[in-house]
Amino acid sequence: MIVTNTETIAGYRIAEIKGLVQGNTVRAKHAGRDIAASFKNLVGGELRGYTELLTESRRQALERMLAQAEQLGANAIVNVRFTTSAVTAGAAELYAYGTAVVAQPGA
Amino acid sequence: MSDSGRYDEPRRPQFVADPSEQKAAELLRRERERATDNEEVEHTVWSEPALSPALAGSPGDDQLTYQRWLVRNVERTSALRSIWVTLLVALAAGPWGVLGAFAGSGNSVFSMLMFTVFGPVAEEVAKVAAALWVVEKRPFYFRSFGQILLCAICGGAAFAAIENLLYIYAYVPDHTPAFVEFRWTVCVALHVTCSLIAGIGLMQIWRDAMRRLAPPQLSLGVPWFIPAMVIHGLYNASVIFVSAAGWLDLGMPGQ
Repeated sequence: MIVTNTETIAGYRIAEIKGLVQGNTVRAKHAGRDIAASFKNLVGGELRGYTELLTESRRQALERMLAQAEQLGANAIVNVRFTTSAVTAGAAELYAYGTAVVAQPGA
Repeated sequence: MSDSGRYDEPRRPQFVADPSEQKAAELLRRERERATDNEEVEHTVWSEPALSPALAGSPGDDQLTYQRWLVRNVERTSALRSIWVTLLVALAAGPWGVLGAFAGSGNSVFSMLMFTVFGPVAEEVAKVAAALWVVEKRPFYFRSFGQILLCAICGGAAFAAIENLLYIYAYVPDHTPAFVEFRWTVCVALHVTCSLIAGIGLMQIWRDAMRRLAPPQLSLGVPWFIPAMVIHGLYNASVIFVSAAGWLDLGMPGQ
């Protein structure tokens, strides 16, 4: 699956547009991680627990978007965008969307 | 410039891959392995309102769609399992009722608003929350609308019973017999009636989803949920008013 945030794919032509595909997730870490992060906040540095949380959320949102593209029989997603929301505190909320297409080699 | 007179390229920083990527990949792989159709159907592209059939075509025979998921689970769910779920849902309203009863109590000026607005809303939601979850997430567990109404009525009755016990033994320990009788008649009738009205809303949501074989539309229940909340709120306001006016003497003011 080709995934790009550009509208076109170099060396490919868009043969078919399948439609909008999207994936979203709202994830949280357990309370222990939140407590550890609050202590880490006192001394500064990377809050690794929250880095992991954001990574998990991004990957899960992407995977769900990819799954939707596969369901449509697409082999590429163009114009991919990420956005966040603020539903609840202490959670990472990611929303990924793009246009599922069938791309064929050749300009 | 090095000692040998050769130009040394500046040292490039060593880029290190984020270890969280590997950990996240492993965690998500485990989650994927545990995931069932019940979770996957919530993300299927075929339920997306933005999908254009002209572009996307129709789903292949092996693809998971909400309709196929629902039909398959209706066929798999036995009558016995359906009855068990109905009984569990009816009983689950009790613990939720405790939370709702706490939300509807208080003794300040703010409690007037709590008593007549927030309390009734929280309680009516709490009474049917379990049944609402089944209707929204696993509608195939119900085989008839009678089961939903039974859940709603039992939810209202269980809620009223728990709330009565809290009032009689915790909030108003020096109660009068008239207060006890009032709680076990009027209050039970109110809670059961309001739950029944909300239950009709649940029934509308479930019936529409089963007829269309499509995800439930919760908005169909709102015309029934709102009256249940309003009737409950008006009842609470009336009891406060008539008690304050001295027309109803049960040994304590309010409900």
